[in-house]
Amino acid sequence: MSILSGLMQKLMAWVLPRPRFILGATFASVVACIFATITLLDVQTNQLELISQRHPLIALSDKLDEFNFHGKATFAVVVRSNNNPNRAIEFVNALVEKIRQDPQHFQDVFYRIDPEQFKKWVLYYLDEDELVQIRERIEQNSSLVQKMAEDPELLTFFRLVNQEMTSRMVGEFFTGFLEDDDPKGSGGSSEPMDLDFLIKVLNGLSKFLSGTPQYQSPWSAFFKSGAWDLEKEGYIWEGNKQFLIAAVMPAKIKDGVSKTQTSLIQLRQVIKDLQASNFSDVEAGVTGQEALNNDEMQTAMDDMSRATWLSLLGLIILLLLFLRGIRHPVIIMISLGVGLCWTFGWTSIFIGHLNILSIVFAPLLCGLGVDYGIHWFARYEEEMSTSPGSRLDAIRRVMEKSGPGIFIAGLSTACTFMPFLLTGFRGLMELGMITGMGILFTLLADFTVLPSLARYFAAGSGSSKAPREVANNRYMLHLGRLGVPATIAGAILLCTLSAISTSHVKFDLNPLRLQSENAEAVIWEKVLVENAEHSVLSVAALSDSPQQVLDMSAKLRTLPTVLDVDNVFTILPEQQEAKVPVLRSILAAVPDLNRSVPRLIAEGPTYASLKNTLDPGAHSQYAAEMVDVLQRIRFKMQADQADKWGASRPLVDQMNQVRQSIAQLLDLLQTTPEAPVSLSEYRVRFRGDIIDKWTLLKESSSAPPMQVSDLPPPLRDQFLQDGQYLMRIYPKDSIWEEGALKQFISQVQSVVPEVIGDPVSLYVFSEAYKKASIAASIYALIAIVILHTIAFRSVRLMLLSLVPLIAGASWTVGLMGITGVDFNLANSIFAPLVVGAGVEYGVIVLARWQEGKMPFGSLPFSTGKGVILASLTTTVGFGTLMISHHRGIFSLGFVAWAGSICVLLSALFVLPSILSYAKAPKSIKEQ
Amino acid sequence: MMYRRVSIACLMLTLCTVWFAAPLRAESGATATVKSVLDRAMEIQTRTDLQGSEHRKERSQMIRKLIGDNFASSEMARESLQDQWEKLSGKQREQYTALFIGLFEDSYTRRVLDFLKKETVEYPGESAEGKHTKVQTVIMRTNEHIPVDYMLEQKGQKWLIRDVIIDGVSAVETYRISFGQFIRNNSFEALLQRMRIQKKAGEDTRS
Repeated sequence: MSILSGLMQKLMAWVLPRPRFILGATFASVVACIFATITLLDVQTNQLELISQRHPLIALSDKLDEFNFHGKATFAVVVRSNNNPNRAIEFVNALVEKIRQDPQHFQDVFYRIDPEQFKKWVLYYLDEDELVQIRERIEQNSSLVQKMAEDPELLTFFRLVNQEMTSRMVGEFFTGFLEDDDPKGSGGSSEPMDLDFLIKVLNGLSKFLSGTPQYQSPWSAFFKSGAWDLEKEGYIWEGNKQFLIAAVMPAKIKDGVSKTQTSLIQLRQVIKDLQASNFSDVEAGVTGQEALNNDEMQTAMDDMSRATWLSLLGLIILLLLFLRGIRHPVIIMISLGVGLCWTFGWTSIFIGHLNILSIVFAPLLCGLGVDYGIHWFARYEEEMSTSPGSRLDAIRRVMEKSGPGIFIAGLSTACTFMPFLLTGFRGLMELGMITGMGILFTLLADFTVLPSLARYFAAGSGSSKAPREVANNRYMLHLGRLGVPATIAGAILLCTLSAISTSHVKFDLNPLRLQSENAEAVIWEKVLVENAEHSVLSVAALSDSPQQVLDMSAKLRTLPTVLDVDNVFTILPEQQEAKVPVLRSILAAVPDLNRSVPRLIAEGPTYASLKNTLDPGAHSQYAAEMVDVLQRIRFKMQADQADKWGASRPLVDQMNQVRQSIAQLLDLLQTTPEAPVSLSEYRVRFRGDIIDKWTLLKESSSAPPMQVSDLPPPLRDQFLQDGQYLMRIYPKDSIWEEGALKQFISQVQSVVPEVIGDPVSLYVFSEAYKKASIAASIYALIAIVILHTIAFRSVRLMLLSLVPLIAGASWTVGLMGITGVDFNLANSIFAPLVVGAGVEYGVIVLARWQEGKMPFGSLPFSTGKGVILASLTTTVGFGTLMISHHRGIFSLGFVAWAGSICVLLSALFVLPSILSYAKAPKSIKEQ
Repeated sequence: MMYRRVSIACLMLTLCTVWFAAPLRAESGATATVKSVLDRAMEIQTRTDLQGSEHRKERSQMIRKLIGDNFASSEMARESLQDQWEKLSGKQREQYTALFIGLFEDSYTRRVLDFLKKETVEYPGESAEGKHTKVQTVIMRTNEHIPVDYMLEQKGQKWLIRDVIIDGVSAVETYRISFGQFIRNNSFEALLQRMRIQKKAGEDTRS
């Protein structure tokens, strides 16, 4: 201490004579730091970047990136179908169009595998039963199928339907009795006519004539399989077709909290504009890891910004209240501000960025760094009250008496952060470095800028509010003979209860639970997590041998924690060889199209071609013929009569539907002038649709089994690149629980030692983070022990200085158990933070005790005031974090706030009580 | 000159007479028969004193008689069997014809009772179809219609209906296809048996 006092004297001997030089140099350096911050400081959002870059997972993850759109960052646009997949598809198509028109913000978008590339094998993707059903359907309707192949015309279709209906009706009239209980069937089909297909055609036509421009193929329903409507195929669906997904690759723009934030904002705006224009019924949002990172950083930045300002405001109010004047608080705040600016400048130049952990340093520094100025002025006021003399003398005495204590306290706090460098966890290393340096910069400002300012602006002796004689004997605390043991007993009891409560505190891994509940990316991610068929997270493994992929996948599927494994072979249709005979029988059942039917090009027929071949009168003529046949069909749909002759309820309902649909159509055809022309256009599309479906049936039923080489490259690339095969392994249980995640990873690793992917990253990250947090606490404690042993030159004093820390930390964890707050990826860092605060109070109280002016169970007023004020400022610094929407930062704020309160109580009551029984070292007494 | 003018006037008058008389001539034969049958059936169906389910039996008897009087049911029975007819014994023919007539009258009566109301019937025309005459009719309703053609044969002074073609589907053809298929799958005796059961069911319903 004496060495430190000497150093302080020398420092003051240099500082105090040249205040203008110091203040001028400080101003220049602050301006330079602000400039450096604006131009150099960046924010990193990638979680993996928080781990050391030397970690093997980073290299493996780079390999995996190649399979995920070649490592490009992606946003996931989620569109809720609301039981109307067509609207979701329309929305996505409109969105893709907008995205492609904006290369400034978006590089690319992946939303669909072109079904044309799958077309040839579409039937292989159906089950064998479904294929048999299709064949039966063709055979049952052979007459219709045959005639439509001969003449693929809309009118022909309705005429055939009418003919079929009439035959069935007349048959039922006269020979229906032959069908009763006749297993061999006579007099026509015994199956009731399924009007579903007719209803679909009528409704589609009706919609088209009403002005809906999209043609809806009715032929999918005819074959009772969704695999036919290629216009709606190839999209990426999740949750039983509840959600349509599109992956948007943003352009990287250096603006905002990350390089992709501007694109994210633009993407959300495009979605909003589309919803406002024509898609008010469609719900959509953006999520995915990149969006989550962006939202997390944005929320954290906003929270930090507000917390910092609120923290500063809180500090000013506290200082004004405690220091009962404006000058001292202003000097403290200027000194703190200078320290902050130096820290930002240093960080910008030497580190260059903040991460999700280090971003919290500013409010922390406000809380911790202001303490030294407070202790300084608390002593200054005491010196001004107790000892007469000039301002300069008082400053010298403060620096001489309290300077060493403040220095050790500051150094101790810095020492709690600096050892983070030893953890090897990059995020924590940077936080430790930035905050540790921040403390030292604040200390430097308090020993240079603050005395220089105090020399000009600090209150003189006449302005002191504390009467000299009172100040000499004032005590903050006087516990008395009974109070001291009672306090110690109470502290021990609280420690015991805390130890019991601590067993309820768990470690929560779920990073989604850290983020703001209202962040759009979080909301949509949760929706996906809750509705997806399997976990949205999977681990991945690589192999260069196809046989190994098949063997490993088979082994992995047998693991109790594995739900499914996807690889390039699982994209191929299953049991292809077994389906070949059924497909060939379908091929035989499908008649060839009439050769005179023109083969329409892939993009579909257009009305223009028809317009050229038909004279205007032909539209009306065609419409008239359509009206005639529709009226004839409608006549047969006497649902009331059908009911009488025992038709089933669904059939009667269908008949009613047909009647209504035809009435609607007739109304349109007879009253809308443009309806005949629209009808002709629909006719062309209908014909094109039939030709497409027939071609599809023919090609797909004659195709050889699909091979890996036949897969469309955008899909194949997700599982096979440069001879490397990727397996995606999905967990059976929720991996958010630590135990489940560990079990899943270790079981998968028993088959494939090198696995990668988000769950692995999460596991490695959380393990590394937990270890790093514990290591940081241990290193901080070791650093403090060494520093205090050297500074106090006594093991006993060193141990005493740790009392507030140990008791306060124990009570905090106990409080977490009671309030149900678990450790998570954000608040695990609380221990080192509390160590910093706890040690500081211990040192200040202990330094005062060493002066020998602490009677039994008492604490001098100025020391108590300084500790309380310092604690309150720290509490405000941590407490402002609780206004955060980011729940991780909130929990950190809560835990650190509770920690600093506990440490304060321990420093105010427990340490003085223990010191009451301790004998002050002789050397100190002598000093 | 005068003679010439008179001749032209006479020719014109003759042409007009022929022109206006053409529909009258049509109605006087096959078309008139069909119209008469339909009008009579609609009258029975719409008579106020015969409305309600309690009069259904009475209406049924009247319509059944109307059908019996105007349809060549025996001929229809024979045509419905086509090639099979030649293979049948006299007794079988007799049994089959009796059953057919009963069933046809039952079916047709039931359909008339269920479907026919006060309809607007159009008569677009008639045409010769071999030795028969086809009378076209269209039952018109709001937003719907159905063409029903009748094939008639003149027997002496009387026109008898030999077939009804509902929207292009012939009743006799339907019988022929269904009976043929049933006999192929089963036997003629099975057909007779099935017809007997159906006839019994019809009689039970009527009683």
